[in-house]
Amino acid sequence: MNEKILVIDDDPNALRFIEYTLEQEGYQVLLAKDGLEGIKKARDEHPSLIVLDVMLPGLDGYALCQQLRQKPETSLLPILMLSAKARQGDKDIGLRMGADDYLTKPADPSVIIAKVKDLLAGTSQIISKNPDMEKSQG
Amino acid sequence: MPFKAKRRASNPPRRKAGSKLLSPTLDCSPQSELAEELLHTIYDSSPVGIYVLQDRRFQYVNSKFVKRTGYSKDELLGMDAMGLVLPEDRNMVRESAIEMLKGKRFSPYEFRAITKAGEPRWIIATVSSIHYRGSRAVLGNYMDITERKRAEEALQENEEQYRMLVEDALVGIMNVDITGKITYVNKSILEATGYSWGEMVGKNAFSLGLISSEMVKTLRKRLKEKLMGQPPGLLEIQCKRKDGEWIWLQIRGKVLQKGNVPVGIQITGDDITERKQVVEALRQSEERYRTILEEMEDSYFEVDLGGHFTFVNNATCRSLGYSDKKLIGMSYKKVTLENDIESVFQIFNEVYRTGKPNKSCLWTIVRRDGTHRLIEHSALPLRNDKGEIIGFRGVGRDITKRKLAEEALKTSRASFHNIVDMSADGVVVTDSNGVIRFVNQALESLLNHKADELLGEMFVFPVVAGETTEIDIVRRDGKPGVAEMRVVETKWDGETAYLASVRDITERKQVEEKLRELDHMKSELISNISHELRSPLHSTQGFTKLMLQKKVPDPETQEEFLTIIDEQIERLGNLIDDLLDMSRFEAGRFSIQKRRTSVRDVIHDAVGSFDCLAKESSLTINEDIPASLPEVEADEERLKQVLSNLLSNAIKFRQDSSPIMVKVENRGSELLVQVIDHGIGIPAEAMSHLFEKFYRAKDTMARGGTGLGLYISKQLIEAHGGRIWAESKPGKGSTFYFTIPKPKQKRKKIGEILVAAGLITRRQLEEKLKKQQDGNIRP
Repeated sequence: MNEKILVIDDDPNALRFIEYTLEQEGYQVLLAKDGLEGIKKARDEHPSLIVLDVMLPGLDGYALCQQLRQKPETSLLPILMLSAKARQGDKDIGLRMGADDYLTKPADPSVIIAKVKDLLAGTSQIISKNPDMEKSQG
Repeated sequence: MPFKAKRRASNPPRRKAGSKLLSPTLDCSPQSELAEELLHTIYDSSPVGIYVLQDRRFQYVNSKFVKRTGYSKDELLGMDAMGLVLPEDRNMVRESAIEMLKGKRFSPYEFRAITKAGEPRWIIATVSSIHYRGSRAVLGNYMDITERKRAEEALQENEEQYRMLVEDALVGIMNVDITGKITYVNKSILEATGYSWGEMVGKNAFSLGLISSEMVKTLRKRLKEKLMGQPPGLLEIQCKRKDGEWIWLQIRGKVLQKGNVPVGIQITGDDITERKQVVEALRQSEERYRTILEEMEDSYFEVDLGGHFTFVNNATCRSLGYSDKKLIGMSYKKVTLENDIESVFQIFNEVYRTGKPNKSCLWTIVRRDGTHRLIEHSALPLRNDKGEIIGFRGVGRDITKRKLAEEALKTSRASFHNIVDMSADGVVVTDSNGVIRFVNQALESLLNHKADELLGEMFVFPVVAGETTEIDIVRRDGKPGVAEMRVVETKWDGETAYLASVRDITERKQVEEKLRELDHMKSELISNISHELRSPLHSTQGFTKLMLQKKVPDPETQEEFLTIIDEQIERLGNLIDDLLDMSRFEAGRFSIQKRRTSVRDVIHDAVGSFDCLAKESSLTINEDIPASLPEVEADEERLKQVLSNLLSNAIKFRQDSSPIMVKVENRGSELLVQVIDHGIGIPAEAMSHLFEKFYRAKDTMARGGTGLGLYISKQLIEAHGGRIWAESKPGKGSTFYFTIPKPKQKRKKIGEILVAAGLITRRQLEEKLKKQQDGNIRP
């Protein structure tokens, strides 16, 4: 079964680029052009991973990430932040808000694919490292 | 007949041997009638009273005796002799007579007898024992000494009085003989000199050390002159007391004479030491006052009741410019400013009426050279011995300079107040306790209180010298503001005080706040620009990498991606243009190239650039442009840029597929262009910020962009001499308006007509126009 990846970005070109890149790797790609749509799809479509832009109109990527982490069904969902915000401070905020990794635009397609694969593969490892999560799994 | 009686006497007194008063050999016996007769004759011619007693009774009295007693001869003969003696003296007379008769006493005795008339008379008498008519008898000599006695008594009394007078006189009296030896001094002299009687009397007056050697010379000379008969004169000499103290004596000498021969000098003297001291003190005091009066800077003068000078000191002369001779007798009116004469009169009049001095009155004097001086005077009453006011004294001080200095100070204070009051900064002075002593107008308005409400009150803010603090104030419009207060220590009326200058920094604070916001906006912008630049780069690079990595075999997809790359590059280009424009505006290096332009063409072009987008997303842009439209002077590219900006905003915020309208109206001197959309509209709070640079609406309005589009549009329209504004209803849509002024060609046309008519050459016209233009540009 192809894993579902949700891409949230307000730039249609960016969406198109990531969609094409991930589809080429065989993933099923869902698109959302703003935060509200993203949160809805993350809840309803049960994606295996989210590629999340930060500068979104309305609800931005940081806030979205925080909200997803607070919801049990998405608290463990791997989130890859992909943002044009390139400062170290921006990256730190993203990780603190619950992102699993942070990539800066423009990003090489192969780097994106590598990160996605890493995150999907590492899900079980992250869980095993966290006793609370083990408990809730059990 | 006296002898008759004797004859009658049966027992004549026995003749006593040894009786010596009368010749004892004289036999007065009756046997010798002749002898008795002779004796009686002799006795009667004697000036002395003579009588003969036998058994104490008169046997014989001569005529002198009869005369003295006042009795007749017959009455006396046979009378007891004691009957003539004053009873108190009878014993004394008896004893004296017995002693004399016994030969124990030889000197006559004195007693008081009584005449027949009862008058007492002083008598001197002697008795002796004789034989008279065969028997013993007493022969008495009798002399009336009453006159002499009285004279003696009077003299004695006089002398006693005189002696006491001299002795106790307050005046010192000293007698010296012609050699200078002191023969007499009275008590006063002893008291004055401190010597005793024994120490003075018998000594030489000049060698006592009483008088200085110089004085001795003078006195010796005087003494000589005195003795030569010079008239008496007063002399003041200084004497040394026994205790060494010097005293002053005023002496007068009088020559003492015995017969016509001078035997000495009587010196009378008064101790005038105290008087001398008083006089000396008075003299010194007078001299002191005179010195003060003459040396002092203040003028001192005295005037009579009529206002005429009776005394002036040097300072008065200097002050008025007249000599004292000229001033004495001059009326004060002559040296008083005419306007002041009445008030000066009133001042002295009041002093006269009340008797109280006026210690501070001002009037202006006129000097001899006509210049004026302002003098501060004290006016005092001048009284005579009886305490009556006979004039006035005045003391004056020239305060012209002080007055001028005061005036200058006042002026300088006034101008200082002016400056301080005009100052935009509030100024407040408090004393060391924080009580307000001064505020200027600016502070009144800063604190929203009047000066009289503030003075004397505690200043609400703590003042600490050297500190600068920010305080909250209420501004005149009632809104809160911020002021900066600087405090320095100063002096106010000679006391430590604090001067606080209070500056309303509300605007500065707002500017600072704005700057902070701007700063924040700038970093936002950088972040935005970075994002805006990265986003197209991101997709461009992404698609490029995909293709380079041969991951896009499909030609159609390739074309799709290349189109996106193309668009994104253009977007980057526009973005960079915007940033450049902005930096040009900022640097003031922006200019437009005006040319004759058809607004219709520009609108067509701008709308045309969205054709591509319109086709893709069912976008409709309508144009409503009048058929005949004058050309305008404009920069075609810039005008198109403005339209593209407005259209792209309209497209960005449209709802559904509602059409967008571009409308042009020809309105008087300008063309009005409107871009109308039916999009989401603009929230009210955003309206005022729309045309500010970096302003980007939040939330729903946040659609990317640099926040520079409308700012640049505004700059461009204003550079064309037009205006730009917007109206909007949230949810209904917005309309952006701008105007472009129509060219004013009148002047140029006239010029052209003139050229066409051949009245001026084209070159002349151009020069003229150029001149005018230069003239307009010149400030």
